[in-house]
Amino acid sequence: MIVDIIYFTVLFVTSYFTFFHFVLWMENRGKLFSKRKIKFFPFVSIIVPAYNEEKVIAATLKNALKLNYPKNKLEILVIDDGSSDKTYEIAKRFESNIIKVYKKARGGKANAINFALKIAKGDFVVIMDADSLPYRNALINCLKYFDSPKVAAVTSNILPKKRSFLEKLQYIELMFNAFFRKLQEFPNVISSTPGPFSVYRKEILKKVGGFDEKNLVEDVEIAWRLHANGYLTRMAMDARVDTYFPSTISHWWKQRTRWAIGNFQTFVKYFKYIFRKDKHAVGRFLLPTSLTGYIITTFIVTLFVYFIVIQFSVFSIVFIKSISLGANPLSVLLAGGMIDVRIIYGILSFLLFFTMLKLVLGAYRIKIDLFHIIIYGTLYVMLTPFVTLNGIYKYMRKDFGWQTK
Amino acid sequence: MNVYIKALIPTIFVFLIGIMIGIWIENYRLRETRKALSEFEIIWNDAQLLNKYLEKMGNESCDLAFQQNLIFNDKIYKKGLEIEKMLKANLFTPEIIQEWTRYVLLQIQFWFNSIELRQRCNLDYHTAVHLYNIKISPIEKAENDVQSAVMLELKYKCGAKMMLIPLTADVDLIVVDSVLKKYNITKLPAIIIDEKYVFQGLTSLEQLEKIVKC
Repeated sequence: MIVDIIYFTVLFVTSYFTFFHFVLWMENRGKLFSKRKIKFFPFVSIIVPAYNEEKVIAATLKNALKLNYPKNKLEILVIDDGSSDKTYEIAKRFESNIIKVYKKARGGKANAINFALKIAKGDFVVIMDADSLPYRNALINCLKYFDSPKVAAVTSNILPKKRSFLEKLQYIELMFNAFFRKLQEFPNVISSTPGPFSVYRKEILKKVGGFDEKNLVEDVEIAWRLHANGYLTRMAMDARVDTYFPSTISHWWKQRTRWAIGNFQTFVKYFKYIFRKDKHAVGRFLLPTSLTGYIITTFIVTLFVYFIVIQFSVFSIVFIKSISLGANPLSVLLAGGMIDVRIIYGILSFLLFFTMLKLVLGAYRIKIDLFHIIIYGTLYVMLTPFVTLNGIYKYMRKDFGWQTK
Repeated sequence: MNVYIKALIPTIFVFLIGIMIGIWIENYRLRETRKALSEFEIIWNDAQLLNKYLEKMGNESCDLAFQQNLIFNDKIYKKGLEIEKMLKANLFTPEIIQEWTRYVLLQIQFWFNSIELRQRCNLDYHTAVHLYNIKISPIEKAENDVQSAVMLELKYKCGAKMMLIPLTADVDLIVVDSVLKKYNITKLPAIIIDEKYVFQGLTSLEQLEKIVKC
């Protein structure tokens, strides 16, 4: 009975969030890819924090110089955060009127950004990862969304550069994230301003205290802080940025665990604001949904472990004992069950999820083969709760010294 | 109306649709089971009348009665498997338990009839009663499924020479309690062969074949 209640709760909550985004899509579908015209060309400082990025820094800087933006209104600040490789030397070769390279002792990504914020001349700053490759119009397309002094940050449409099997799965995931981020713009509840490429109003960043150097996902934390202070964030779907994502499971697991720890750090930091309307999206959306997410995550992992343990025990008993007692194990294992309300509601929920997935793919006008979609919708999505719980566990044990950024 | 409420309405709608389809399927299955068990009861009444007829008119219809018994055994066994799955699948129709009790009663009647028929017609077949619980954990259920598979294997080997009678012990029936008491059964699953030999706990095909020679 308890297992059934958990099962129905998980499906109900996940269906609710799917419908939440579906309703947002229905109401705003005409505005998702709307073209805007830029009205001003402010001075922009692109901050590139770099730590051991010798393999990619040259390509990143070459690409950044190709951005479609007046060069007299642009500076690129490369902050070498105590790299032990040749990042600094390679970046130094690109030094010019536009590109300035600084070296400092290792202090973490947020520390490097805060260092740059002190010297940046621009009214707007772009935080760009050292392996990000924005498209030519990415910056202009982001700036178009600063249509009110309350808009503190604009995020971009980030997708993986390469396409190995794992990267293809992340490609689908990131399309989802970008699409949902766009939808979340309308009720102003965007939950992160991703590190690969986000544009901020410098004055507001400084006003709220810059980036949190203790947080492992400073791009999520800053988005929450901006919301808590009543600022707005936007998402520019037409600002495309390619970046590199983990191509091996071990790297993926490590990156996602870091994200999970950081997300939980943020959750804990702001938990005091839960249900507080004066804290805007943080109080009324981000904290309640995160809390629900953590509960559902725990439920999913519990259910999964329960079924695995039970099914494994059942399988072992049936297999071993059938053979030892002289029966055919297949006749037991293949006996099957009957369709019931759990299966029906499960099918309806999956159909809903895949409808949303099709909607996202349709919006992007991208064809992805069914195999990858199925693997993403089943195995890949199922891994997320485990990473989340692993992150919480490590957070509780304060075991995140190994998580370098 | 804000987006949070707007999203809640279709969520509840889909949830209710899922539940309603589930309830509809469960009710359909329940109706079908009731119908099937009513048909079995008719067949059963026919078999009982045939028994009474044999009592009065002699044994010339023994073959017919035996064949009827075999057919009944086969059909009701298959139906039993179905109802057992329904017990697990039906969440909103507890009435299925009553149907299960009806099924158990039919099986007991069939067992007693098989004993009577064997004595009266001097027939050479075994009766194998497989007693087990249904309100058990998935692990215990797995053990019981193994025992069912062993019994089925034995039935395949014996064919018409064995009547297989699965009986649930955890139903509220005095007759079942009496059987458990008479044979001093404390551990399930248990097997009663020819009302003489009792095996408690998981029993292998080899052990059973020492008694049941087909």
